[in-house]
Amino acid sequence: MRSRLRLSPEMIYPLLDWFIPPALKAERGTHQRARIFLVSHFFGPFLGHTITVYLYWLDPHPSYGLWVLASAITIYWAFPWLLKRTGAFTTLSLISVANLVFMILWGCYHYGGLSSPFVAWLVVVPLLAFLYLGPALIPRLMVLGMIAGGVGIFYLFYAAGHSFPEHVPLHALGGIGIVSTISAAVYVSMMALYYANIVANQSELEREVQNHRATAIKLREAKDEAENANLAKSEFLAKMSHELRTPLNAVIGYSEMLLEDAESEGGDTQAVEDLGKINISGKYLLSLITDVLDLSKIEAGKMELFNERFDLDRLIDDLTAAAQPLCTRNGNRLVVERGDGLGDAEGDITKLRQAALNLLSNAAKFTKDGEVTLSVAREATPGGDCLRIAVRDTGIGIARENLRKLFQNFSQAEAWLSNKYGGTGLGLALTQKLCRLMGGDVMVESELGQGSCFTIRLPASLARAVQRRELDWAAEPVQDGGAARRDIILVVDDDPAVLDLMQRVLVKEGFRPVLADDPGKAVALARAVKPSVIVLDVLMPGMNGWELLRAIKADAELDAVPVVMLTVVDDRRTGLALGAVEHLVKPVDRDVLMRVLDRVCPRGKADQPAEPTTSKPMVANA
Amino acid sequence: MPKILLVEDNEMNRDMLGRRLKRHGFDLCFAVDAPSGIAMAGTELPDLILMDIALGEMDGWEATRRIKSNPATAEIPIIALTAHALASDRDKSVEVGCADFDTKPVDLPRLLGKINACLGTAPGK
Repeated sequence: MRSRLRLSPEMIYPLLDWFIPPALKAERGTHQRARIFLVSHFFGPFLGHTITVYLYWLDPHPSYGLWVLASAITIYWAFPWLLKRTGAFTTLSLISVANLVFMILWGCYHYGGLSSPFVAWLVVVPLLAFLYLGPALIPRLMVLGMIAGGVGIFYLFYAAGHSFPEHVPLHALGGIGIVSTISAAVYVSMMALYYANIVANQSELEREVQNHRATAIKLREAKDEAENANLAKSEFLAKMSHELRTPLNAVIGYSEMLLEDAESEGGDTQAVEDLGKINISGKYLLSLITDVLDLSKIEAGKMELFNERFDLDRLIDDLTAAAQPLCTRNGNRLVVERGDGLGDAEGDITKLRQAALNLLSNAAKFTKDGEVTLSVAREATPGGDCLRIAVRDTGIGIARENLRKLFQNFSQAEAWLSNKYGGTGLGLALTQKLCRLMGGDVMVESELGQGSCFTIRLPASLARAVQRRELDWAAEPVQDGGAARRDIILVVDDDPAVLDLMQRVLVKEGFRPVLADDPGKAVALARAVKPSVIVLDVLMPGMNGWELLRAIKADAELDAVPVVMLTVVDDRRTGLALGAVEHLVKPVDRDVLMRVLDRVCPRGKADQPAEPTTSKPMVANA
Repeated sequence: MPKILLVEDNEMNRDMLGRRLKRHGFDLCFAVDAPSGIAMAGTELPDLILMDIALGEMDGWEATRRIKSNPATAEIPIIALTAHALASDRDKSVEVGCADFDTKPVDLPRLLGKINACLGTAPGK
C-alpha cells in the first residue's frame, strides 16, 4: 500500500491541470506532454538561475549579457499562463525550445566561447523538445534545425576569428562549470524521473486494460453459453411437450369416447365416474404440458400473438362460465363486477382468457367457503385506454416476503402449499409472461389470512400494445414518494429513443432530466446545469463515451459529479477504472437504474427546497 | 349421409376421430398420407376433407393445394388440423384454400360446428 507521505508526481497534477485547457486533456498523450511542459517550466528556471546568481556573485557589476540571460530564463515562468490562455501547445513548445537554444548560445558567447561551461546545456535541448512535442515529425525537424542553425552561426563567428567579449576571465569560470553541469544534470534527472514514472504508470494501466479485456471476453463467452443453454432447454421442453401431448390426446379422446358410450347406454355409473376421472386427469396433465410449452415458447421468443377485436362482455361471460364450477367446488361465491362502457378491446383474446383464468382458478383453489370477485373495467389514461381485470379472493393470502418470488417459474409461496393444494407453480409465471408479451403486466396485493388481489392491466388497443412493449419499463407504475426529488440528471446519448425513455422515467421519478444528444457539447452543458449525476452512453459518433468520461473527470468543475455509464457491451471494469461510479448494460432495468441513482445521489440531498422549477426537461440539441 | 375424408397419419387419432364422427352420423373414409389423400379425394369425392398438416414428406398444405387445383375436387371444402394454434399456420391454411382451420387435440363440439358450417355452405349439397 502507498504510504500517505510518499511524494509522487500525481500530487502536483491538480496544479498542473489547472493550467491545461480542456481541449488538450481530451487526448491522453497530449495531456501528459502538457504536464511535462509545465513541470519543466516551473522548475527549470530555478536551476537556470543558480548560474545567473553565481555569475552575479563573481561579477557584481555585470554587463548587459547577464541581464539578457536572466530575463530569458525568467520569461519561462510566463509560459504556463500563456498555455492556459492560448492553448497553443505546439507553438509555445517551439518558442520555448528556441529561447533555450538562444540562451545557451548567448551564455557561451558572453562567458567563455566554445569552452564555455554552458555548452553542457545543449544536451538538454533535444531531450526537452522531444518530451514536449511528441511523435510529430515536423516539430522535431524544426528543433533539430534550430540547434544545428544556432551552433552553426556560433561556430561561424568562431571560425571567422571574432573576438568574444570577456566579462569574466575564463579561469574564473571554472566554478560556474561545476554549477552549470550540476544544474543541467539535476534538470535532466528530474525530467527523466518524471517521465519514467509516467511510463511505469502507463504500462500498469495497459496491463489493467488487458486484464479487463480478457475478463470481458470470458464474460461474453459465459453469457453466450448460458443463452445457448437456455435456448436448448426451451427447445427441449417444446419438443418434449409435443411428444407428451400425442399419447395424452389419445388418453383423453378414448376416455371421452368410452364416457359417451357408457352415458348413452345409461348403465354402469361406477364406470362413468371412473372414466370421468381419467378424462379430467388427462385434461389437467394436458393443461400443465401446455403451460410448459407456452412458457418455453415465450422464453425462446417464439410465442405469437393472435390479435383481434373482441367484446369485453363476452370475455367476462366466458370467464364466468369457466370459473363458476371451480368456485362452486370449494364452496365459494363468484361475484362479477362489470365496469361502465366496457365495449370492445383489441388483443389476443385466447391468451388474455388464459391469463385471467389462471388467476381465477388460483383464487378458487386457495379460498374455501369465501368469495371470489372478478372485476373488469376500462380506464382512461393519458396514453390511451387500459383494461383492468382484477381477481380478488378472501382466501389464505400470501406473506409479504413471498410476494417477490410468486411469479417465478415452478415457485409457490410456501412449499407445503403444493402438498395441500397441488399445482406446479407455473400458472402465475405464465400469466405474468403472457401479460408482458401483450404489453401489460400483472400486479398483486395480498395479506396473509385476509386474501389476495391480482390485477392484470393491459392496453385496450393494439397500437398502444406495441408502443408499450417497446417502452417496457418506462410504462411500469410509479413508485411511492417519487415526486419530491429535484436532482438534475444529465443524460448523454445519441439515440433519441433512449433519451425519450430516460426522460419519461426520470420525470416520473421526480428527477429533472437534462438531455444531450451531442457528446461534444456535454461538458459545457454539464458545467452550465451542474447535474447531480451524469448518465453517459458509451457508443456515440464523434466522441465516444470513454473519452467524454475522461474529459469530465479531467475537468476541475465536474470531476466530483458521479458518472453512470450506459452500454450495450458489458465493459464494466474499464468504466470503473476511468472513474465512473456505476456501469449499466442496456437495456437498463428501470429498478436497477433507480437503485443506482438512489445510491449515487441520496434522497437527503434532494429534499432540500430547490429553486422553483417545472418538471419540464430542457433539451440541448446538436 | 355426408361423407368425410380424414387425412391423418397417426393411427390412434384416425381411429378415435373417425369413430366419433361416425357416431355423429357421418360416413368416413381414411387416408394415411398426403398422396393417398389426394388420390382418394378424386376417387371417393367426399363432401368434406379433414386434413392433418403434419403428414411427413408432403404436408397437408401441399395436398390441399393439389386438391384445389384439380377441377374435379376443387369444390370440396377442406378443414386443416394442426397441433399449434399459430397465426402463421392459420394464414397459410387460408392461403392454400382451406375453408377453415382447427387445432388438435380436437374439441369435438367445436369441430362439429365447423364441419356443419362448411357442409351447409358447400356447393352441390
